[in-house]
Amino acid sequence: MSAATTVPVLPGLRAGHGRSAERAVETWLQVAWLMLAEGRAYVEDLEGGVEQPAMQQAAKLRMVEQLVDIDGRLAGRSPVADAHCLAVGLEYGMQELVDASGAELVEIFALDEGLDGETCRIDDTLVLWQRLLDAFPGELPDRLVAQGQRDMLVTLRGWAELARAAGLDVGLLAPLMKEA
Amino acid sequence: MDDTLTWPLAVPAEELVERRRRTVAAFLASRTLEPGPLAAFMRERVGDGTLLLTSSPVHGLANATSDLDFIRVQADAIAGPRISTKIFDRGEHLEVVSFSADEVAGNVAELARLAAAPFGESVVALRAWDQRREPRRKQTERIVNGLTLDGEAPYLGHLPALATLWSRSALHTAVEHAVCLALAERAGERRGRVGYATNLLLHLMDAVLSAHGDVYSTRKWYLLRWQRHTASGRWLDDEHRRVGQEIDRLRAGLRGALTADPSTADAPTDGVSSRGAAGAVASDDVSSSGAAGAVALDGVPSNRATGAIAPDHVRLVARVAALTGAGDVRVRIVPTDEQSRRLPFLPGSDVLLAAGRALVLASDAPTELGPLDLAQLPDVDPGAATDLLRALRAGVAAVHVDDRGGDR
Repeated sequence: MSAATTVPVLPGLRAGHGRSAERAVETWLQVAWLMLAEGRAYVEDLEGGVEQPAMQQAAKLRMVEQLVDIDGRLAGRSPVADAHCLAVGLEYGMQELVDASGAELVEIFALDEGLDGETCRIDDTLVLWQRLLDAFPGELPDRLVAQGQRDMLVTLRGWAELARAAGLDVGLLAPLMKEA
Repeated sequence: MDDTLTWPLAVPAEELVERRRRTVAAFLASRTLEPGPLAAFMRERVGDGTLLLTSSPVHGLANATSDLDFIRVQADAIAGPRISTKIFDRGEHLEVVSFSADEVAGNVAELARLAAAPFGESVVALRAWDQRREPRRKQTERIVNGLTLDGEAPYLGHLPALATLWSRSALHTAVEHAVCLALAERAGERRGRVGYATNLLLHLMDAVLSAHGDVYSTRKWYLLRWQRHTASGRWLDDEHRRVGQEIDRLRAGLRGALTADPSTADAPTDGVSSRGAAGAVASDDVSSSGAAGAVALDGVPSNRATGAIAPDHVRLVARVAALTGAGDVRVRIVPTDEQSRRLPFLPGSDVLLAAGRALVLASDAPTELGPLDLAQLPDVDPGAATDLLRALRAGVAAVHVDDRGGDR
């Protein structure tokens, strides 16, 4: 069985690790936003880029970097600068989003292809992504479909209330949304 | 467009505009859209003004899932945050964000000012752009490259300045990756080094592409654009062409680099190393062995599993730095803020506090380096390399790039 089907996803969820309300809510809002805004966009690039393996390879690297960033946030770390995400993920793996060594990430994301731009294997990437969606606490709105826009608005209203209740500034998501 | 403007780029302006007209026409046809009715539809939704189609369709990169991204420039001033309007119509995703003509004019004037400024100053200003200016950096690039639905490129005259700045910024980023690549390799990070090398090459591609007038700041397109550019053979000069060949040689060397030696165990990395102690894998495994990544007679890159890759990559960055007008680049690593403090924690360890971050480290661990020439990077002590890389990743130290070049 490939590592994509066996590596634990979101292992910390079951463990029930505690965190302050402020930190927990801030983290989950950021992680959820990054999954639905950035993660889905990269998956769409991969699925839509069958004729453009060079684009797929570069998009896949960006996706790995984004997932490493999300992993760090779930672990309660300050976000590492973009320049280091790929190196850190390859060397040290991930622990919180996915429990996978660097070597397993290389296998799952087929990173042995390098930058040859000739072919791009995405099957295991998509398998892992679906497992992440299935394991995620709740359904992430899909902004890429018409209904998803309305779902997103409803979700954001709920998030504003949640942020206030946790003592957070509702504007915390603004920088992420501006980039998306 | 002013015909008297200097156009030092690889493709003449008229040819570029004609090419973009064709690619946009083909894109719209593929979606059974016609420019006139589409323009009318958008005018009805968002009002009058100059409507620019931007991003992948303009560059001939769009695929079946690509959206239609528009930027609209209006005569009146705009207040408040710039929210993009998303429109779903007959299966198409359209998105449009608006700016005023005055602020766009201010931005393109700033492009010209920075392109004429010294290398280092221009890169710093470009990186700080989004904190002070609307439209943002990426959107300014989209505007310069944008095409109206009747085939005009009203801002393309500013492409030379855009190209200069984007090339410099990409080169600067590549230098930062060169530092991290060299440190990671000396620290024994067999896979981590490949991460830095990969992005180093992508940013060098962007630097060279931008220098040729092919500017498009979305990283997922760098490699495909690179392939098209090298296939076109439209190089500014022989040195750019040779640099392009070297980028491709090193690119070939990355294939399989992450899985080439499966018998090598993951290098244990101690949490806190001290300078001179082999906290990282001994440098033997990644010793400088010369032509790592060299293409052997059968086309297969040699030595990629055990040879050092940093020296060749660092040398290439230095060549592109010379082409980009940065001259002989020197690098330093310093704490991220001048008020940084290093305080004792336990016997043998300290905590470095900088820019709101903290890093625990051995008492004799260095957190500064240089100034060094790029060529000196692969010789950094392995223990020091580990400490410096930790400090960079933890955000308590940063790479400074000092250029000593003239104008491009």
